[in-house]
Amino acid sequence: MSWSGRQLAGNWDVLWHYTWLHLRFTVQSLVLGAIVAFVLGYVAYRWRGTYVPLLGIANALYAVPSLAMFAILGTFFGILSDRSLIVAMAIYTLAILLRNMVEGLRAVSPNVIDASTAMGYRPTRRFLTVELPLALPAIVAGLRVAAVSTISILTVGGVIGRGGLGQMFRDGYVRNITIEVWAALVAVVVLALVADALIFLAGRAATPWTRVRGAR
Amino acid sequence: MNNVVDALQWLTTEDNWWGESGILNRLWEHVQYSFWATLLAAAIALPIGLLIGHTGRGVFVGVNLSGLARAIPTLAVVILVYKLRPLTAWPVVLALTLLAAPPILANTVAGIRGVDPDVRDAAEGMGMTGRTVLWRAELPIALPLVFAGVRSAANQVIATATVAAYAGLGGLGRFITDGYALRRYDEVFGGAILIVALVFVVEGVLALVQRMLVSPGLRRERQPFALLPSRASAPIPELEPLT
Repeated sequence: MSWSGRQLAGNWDVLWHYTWLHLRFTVQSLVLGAIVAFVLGYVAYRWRGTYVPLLGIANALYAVPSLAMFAILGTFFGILSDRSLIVAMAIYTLAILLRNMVEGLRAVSPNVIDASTAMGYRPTRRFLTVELPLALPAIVAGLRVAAVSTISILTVGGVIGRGGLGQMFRDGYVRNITIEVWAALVAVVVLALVADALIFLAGRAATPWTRVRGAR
Repeated sequence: MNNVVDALQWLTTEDNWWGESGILNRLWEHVQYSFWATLLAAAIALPIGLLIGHTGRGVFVGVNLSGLARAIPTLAVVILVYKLRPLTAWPVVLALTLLAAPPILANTVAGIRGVDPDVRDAAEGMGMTGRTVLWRAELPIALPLVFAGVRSAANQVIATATVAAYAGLGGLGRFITDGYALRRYDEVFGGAILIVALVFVVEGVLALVQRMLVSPGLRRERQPFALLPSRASAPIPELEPLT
């Protein structure tokens, strides 16, 4: 699948192919990151002492530049494998989500927790049906940042000829086709904005109580 | 783990450190790009952020613009800027500046806006006027957040300067891009280790500077791992009040 000529016309299939690939990588990394963040977030919330070290490690990993991260993860997953890309993005997602999830959970009013305990909720059920839903706005906010960053940073994979739309940057650069770079750039931004809007709307739909008049 | 051994071997080979394409020169290039870009970004974003935060005008536009900027892929910007003016560093430094400005702007606005209104009232009650309130009350209190923005910007710039190497420029990214191209993976891993080390050293230095600048009275009790990188320590976006 490669760009032909110096114009956009006739190359829509190329753009679509890489956009779809990009979307697939993004969803895979977000899901992987979210699952790990959920487990670690629960641990960090339940056993308070673990939060600071966990967050410290996550922040340290978050600071590793993406290109270096791909290279380092390549040690485990094979140097030119898509897996190192997905895991790298999942790690960034994890760092963003972990923080937002725990801070969101901690912001749940103790009165609410006491009330649900008094109503007979056991810890696990209380966590899943009271605390977690109340922390959703913070989690959704984190997810939005994670999705937009992932979509954008994933393009760095193009440098090593991996990933989705980043490969078009590389191709456009190497073959001197500026329009290809522009097309992929616009696609990335549009993808990011759409993902952001979708997660925002999903979050709204999942938390109807935040919009009840006079709720506070 | 063979790769790690190879990388260490590459790092400890003296010939790799000297000369134009040696580690020391690449490191110096990387530091130069990053320094100028972060400085420029701070020079632009700080005054605007202070103005927006202090007056409360344009908060919506400022915050959303910096959110949007997150979506713009660095690699494309570097490539496009480089195509315009090949083989010179300053367009890339400008591109890096563009990417470093949003986190500084967002954090400055959030920091100033987040100052307790009572503090502002008290400052005014003590006879301070607009500008003095900003300099003597709001900015010192907002400083930890402002600094978090600068640190996060510096971090992003160092990471992004790595990508700049792809467009034919110097810096530590050269080892990664060249290494991949030539299948010299010891160089790739060695370069990655160097970049990570640089990120952490800069983080540490900035954390120390912050420690010296921020008033001891504001030092939060629970500020975990102040020496660890802070790209993630931007304010939690749109954290709605929880009931």
